Amino acid sequence: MTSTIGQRTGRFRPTRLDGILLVGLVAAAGWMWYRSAVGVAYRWDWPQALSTVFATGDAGETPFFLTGIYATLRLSLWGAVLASILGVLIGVGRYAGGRTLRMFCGTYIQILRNIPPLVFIFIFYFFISSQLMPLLGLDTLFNRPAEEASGWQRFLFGPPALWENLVSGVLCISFISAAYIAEVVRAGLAAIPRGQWEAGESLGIPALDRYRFVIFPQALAHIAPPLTGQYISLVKDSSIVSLISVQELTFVGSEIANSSGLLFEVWLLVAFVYFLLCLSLSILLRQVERRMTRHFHQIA
Amino acid sequence: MSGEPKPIIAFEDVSKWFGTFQVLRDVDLGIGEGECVVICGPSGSGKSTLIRCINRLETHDQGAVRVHGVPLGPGERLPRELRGKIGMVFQSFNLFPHMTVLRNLALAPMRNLGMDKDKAEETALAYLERVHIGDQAEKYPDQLSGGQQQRVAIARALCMQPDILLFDEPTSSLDPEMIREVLDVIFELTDSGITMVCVTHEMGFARKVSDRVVFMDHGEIVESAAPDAFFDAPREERTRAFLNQILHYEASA
Repeated sequence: MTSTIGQRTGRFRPTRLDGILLVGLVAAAGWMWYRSAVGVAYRWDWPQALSTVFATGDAGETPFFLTGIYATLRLSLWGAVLASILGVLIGVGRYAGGRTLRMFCGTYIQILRNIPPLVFIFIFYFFISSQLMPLLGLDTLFNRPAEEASGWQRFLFGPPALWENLVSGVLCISFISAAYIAEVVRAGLAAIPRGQWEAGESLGIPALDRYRFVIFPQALAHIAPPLTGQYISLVKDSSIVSLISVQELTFVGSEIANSSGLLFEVWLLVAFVYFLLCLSLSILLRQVERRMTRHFHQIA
Repeated sequence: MSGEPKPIIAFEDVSKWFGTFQVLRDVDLGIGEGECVVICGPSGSGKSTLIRCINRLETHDQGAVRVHGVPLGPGERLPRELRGKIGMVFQSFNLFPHMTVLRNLALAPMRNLGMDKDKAEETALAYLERVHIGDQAEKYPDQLSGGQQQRVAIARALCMQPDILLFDEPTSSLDPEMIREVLDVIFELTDSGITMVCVTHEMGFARKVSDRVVFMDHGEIVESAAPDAFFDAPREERTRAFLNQILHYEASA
């Protein structure tokens, strides 16, 4: 074998191990099919499931299931944007800040990473809805008549009636994700050789520009793979905000599953949609990563 | 210590510690405007730390450093008005690997001096010509040899039109056959009026290029003299021992 580990070989040559694995897989699939057909006695009804899921409302509204998908997309998008901003700020603070700032950022990261996300969300949601919204005046902002929302606002943020809902979800998701992104960012900054900082400094490049042109582009090339993983996690983890009644895919799925009784079909559909979302995201981000690291000759 | 009329860099009783280890001991040194000073000495003698105290990549703990008459106290970083005025060439080049050579050179003039892109690139090309690699402008650093990379680094420092240029062992990480091209470029800078401080082990270069050689050992300046006097008639025993070692090494190699 001339290729190294992790590299794709030119042609696939099955070995004995591949055969054993294949037999094992077929056996497992057959057993599961047998159990579900005989043991569970579950009556599959895909036509009914599909028509339920994609049924439009009485007045021709968007199907409930689709609104859930859109909500998950919006949650993920805004969650990723906010988490990135927070994560970079906290990561930089953790790496380069003074003692107090470093400690503050470190504490944030430790707290968020060491509490189950679900528990954090229950605590934090109470805080958001009872304190943060009134404090920022968001509740009055969001309680305006629906007609005032323009087309692009609806497109970006969904129906106005659910804005408060969306903001709660986005805040929860991004606060959690920011802690992980911050650690990734910190590691990326730490991986930049000291000489790069010193060269920038001795050339008199202003501090912010030093980050922008010298440090961040290189750090980003280092952390692109873990960052991609973090964004995919964020999409999947957005499902937990269904527990504070944010009407995203999981919330919608569980409503439909419970009301129709088509549990397996609906949950399989939900799983399939998450799978598609995350798969396309990872393919997209891999392309971005390739473009970004195209010119990084010295960086592996 | 020096009788130069107009010191552009002055160390007054400067000391510095790394933890309990004292790297600089009561250093007194004046460097005149336009002077070219070579600093030599065994490794760990504080040479690099000394020149890094000039552009404040390191700060000292006691005494005072003056650059351009601006007093810099212990722990003080470089004030705004001096930023970019003191260029530095590093042992490991420290080029920005994700930028073309041209962009490596143009970045600082654009961001610090507010030069527009065309002007900055024009300047950059002129300096690349000056270090004899005008044809490499569109390459990335890792497509160049070590000697070429170090010349790019020198050109990059020159683009900021510094008054002072610091060299921190500029040839120490180069393959032997590339040392010459870099030293030649540095030699060509001696009539530019830029004050140069160079830490190096290249004694032949020191003799040919410098106005003064400073020998450091254990964090203190042992001897400071014109190159002929320094190499032909060193006053201090420690200097003689060091030179013997170096020359012996060169003779056997």
